[in-house]
Amino acid sequence: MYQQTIIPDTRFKNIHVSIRFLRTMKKEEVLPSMLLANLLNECCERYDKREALSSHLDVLYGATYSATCSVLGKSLVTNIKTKTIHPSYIHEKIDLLEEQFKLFNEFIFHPCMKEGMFEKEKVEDAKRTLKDHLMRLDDDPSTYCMFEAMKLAGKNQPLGWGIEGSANDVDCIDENTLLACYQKLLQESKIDVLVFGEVEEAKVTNLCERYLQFTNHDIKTCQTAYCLTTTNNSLFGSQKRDITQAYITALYETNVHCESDEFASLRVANALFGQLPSSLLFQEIREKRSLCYSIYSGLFSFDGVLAVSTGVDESSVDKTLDLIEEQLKRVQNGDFEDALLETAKVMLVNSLRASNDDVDAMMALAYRNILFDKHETNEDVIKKIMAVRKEEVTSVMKKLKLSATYVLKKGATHE
Amino acid sequence: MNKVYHPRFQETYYSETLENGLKVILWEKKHFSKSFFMMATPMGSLDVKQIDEHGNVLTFPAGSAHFLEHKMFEDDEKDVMDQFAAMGANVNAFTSYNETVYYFSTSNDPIAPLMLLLDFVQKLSISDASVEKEKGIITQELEMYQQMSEIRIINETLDCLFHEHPMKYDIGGDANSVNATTKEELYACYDLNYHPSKMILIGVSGEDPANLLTKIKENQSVKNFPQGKAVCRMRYDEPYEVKKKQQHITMNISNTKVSYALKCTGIQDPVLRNRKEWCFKILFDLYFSSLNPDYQEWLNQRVINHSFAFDIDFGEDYGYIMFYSESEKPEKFSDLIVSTIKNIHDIDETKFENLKHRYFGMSINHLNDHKQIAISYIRNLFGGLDFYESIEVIESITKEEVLAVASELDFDNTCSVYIEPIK
Repeated sequence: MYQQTIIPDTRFKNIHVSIRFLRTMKKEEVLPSMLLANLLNECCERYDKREALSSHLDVLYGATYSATCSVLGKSLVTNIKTKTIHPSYIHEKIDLLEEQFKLFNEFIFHPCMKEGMFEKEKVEDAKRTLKDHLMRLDDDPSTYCMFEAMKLAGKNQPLGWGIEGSANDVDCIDENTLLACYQKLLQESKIDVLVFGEVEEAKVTNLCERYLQFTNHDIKTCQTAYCLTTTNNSLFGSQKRDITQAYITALYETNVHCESDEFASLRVANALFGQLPSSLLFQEIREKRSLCYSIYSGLFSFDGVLAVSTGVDESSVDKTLDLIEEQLKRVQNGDFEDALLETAKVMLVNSLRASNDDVDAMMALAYRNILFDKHETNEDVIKKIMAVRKEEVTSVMKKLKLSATYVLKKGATHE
Repeated sequence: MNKVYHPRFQETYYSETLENGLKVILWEKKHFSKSFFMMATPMGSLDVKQIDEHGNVLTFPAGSAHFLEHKMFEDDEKDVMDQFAAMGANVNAFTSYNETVYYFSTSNDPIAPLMLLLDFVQKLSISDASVEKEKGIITQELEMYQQMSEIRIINETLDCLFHEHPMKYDIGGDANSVNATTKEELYACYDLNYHPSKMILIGVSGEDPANLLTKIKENQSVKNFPQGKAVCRMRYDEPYEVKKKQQHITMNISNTKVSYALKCTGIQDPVLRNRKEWCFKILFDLYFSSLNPDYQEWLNQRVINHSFAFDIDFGEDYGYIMFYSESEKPEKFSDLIVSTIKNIHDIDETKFENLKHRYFGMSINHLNDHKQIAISYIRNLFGGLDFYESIEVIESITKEEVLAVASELDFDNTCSVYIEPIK
């Protein structure tokens, strides 16, 4: 009940194995799923203390093991992964690949349970870790500003669900909810096993059969990518905090699905608008006016959102917001040099080619192909990028709608 | 070209020092389309005072190395970043305590951006107006770091440890030092520290090393450089005692952050220095990580949480060990560190050997990463170490040596910093 995908590559010195559990996101399941990932990250029946796991990973020459949960558009993905060095670097008779699968077996199928429930003490540990993590995210003003903008724009939508849970909500997750979450993970998820590196396919198949006896007989179909759509006018939020610099986040609905033909145009448009050092935002706001150190735009491709983020002096907030809007208008009106368009394409192509040399990027591409049932290579995407014309850039940017702007200002902390 | 092959790590690189003194390392990464090049000078934020060949002490405002890094990207005709971007190359730079580094990566033919890297780093062209303009950008950058509590706790702790030593400064300096920096000082800094004989160029690439070297030589042969000036970082007679035992500050954060740091004396010999840093790392990985069964108890008691970390740094004329974490019981943090170290009487042989396995695995992992290879090579070279020896030293470290470093620590010469949430 899983799909096995091998990404063969002899250039790297590691073997990576990733098991991904995909299911439709429900608002109330986001925090429990994150808690479950924390729990699966920390212990299992065999390695019931972190000490035992750390010692074992050291025996395996610094192998790594982790479990995380993240949002992918309308879905949640729990990613449990391991990494070991290639066996050619060791002389001992340890089958490192098999050890990776043994780890999966222990953590996925034999978590720390007593009488059919997760061990209370372990759950409390995992809750504390998750709460600390959430509070740390809030402490960073830039991240906080981004999250608040996402909550504004994504109210009652997956964009907002993914980050709505607070540290206080973690305490409210009860044992039954967590158990149900674990059962759904095993029974209802679409499960993919991705293996990267120099491995024998037959051996991987054999190890999967021996160690991964999934019973996910009730797989729900789920959608990942979507486009955020709001009916209201653009929202504005602001808060004061005892900080030395003001932070700005502006979120735009792109109205472009990441699998549509227009997506290549949007990527190019975003690159020249604010992704690159040569972009309009960077050049006009940082280089020409020295208003900030960092300003960039980025795409949340699975949510159909473009985000602009920066940190400026308090006195420059209004001016910066005007300048951001002005640069967007310039892209929409085609008021930029052809050379900038060409640079944006060349840089995107470079980044796509570079991702052929990056393990995480190659695994992400393989997974994306699985999700959309495609066999697209980076070279295919490069062709689309190179074919983008100026009119397509202007026209795709005209589809942008400002959903929300959030400003974190200096001052005593209150709403 | 001198070829260096390491059978255990299955890696090859070539080295040559050019006529003008530039050291070139070309690390072979066959079958990768990505090329990564770095050019570095051993001038970092610690070079606030330098001594020239006549014994004169030259003083620069704190953060000058970082300011200069920003201004290196200026060009009379076209912005350097734009030129790299047009070639499909990502360019960037950073300044740390001991070096300033410029680098680019590309998956296209690396020759054109490589020539540009050599050209822009080997030329400084700035005006009073452009220096003034940059001050606003750098001030915003410093403000940004000031907001990051995890960086702030480290900077505040270093400030408590050191009286004189420039380790007490932020790498970028502060608003006053940035605003005081002049064009003339930046030129003086550049002239002293950017001569090819002081710098290294390292490339990690799938391209033919011989071809790369030919192009580099062609680029360098047409340039004339004045005679390089002998200059070295001034050594500080830093007082033995910490400057301030305790510091309390507040920030808009959720959890209290606490640090506990021990001031140590510097170690002049780079090999000994590297060895001692490894001994401390082994010791703390054994006792201040999940390998220690007590670690879970510390988490349970909320004296630490998963943000716990430590930092070990020794230079010729300074040294410190720093522990830091978020904590609900910050008053117990230093006691935990002290009592744990004082109670170390033996080291578990199995854990000790397995830890060496971990470090070997980590070294293998780092060799997958173009940037990591280049940075490690540069830091080892500037630190007076051989790349592989700096890693393989671990094999010869004994339990007794590790135990011995614990007994050297002076628990009366420490400081603690508390960053508390605003009430």
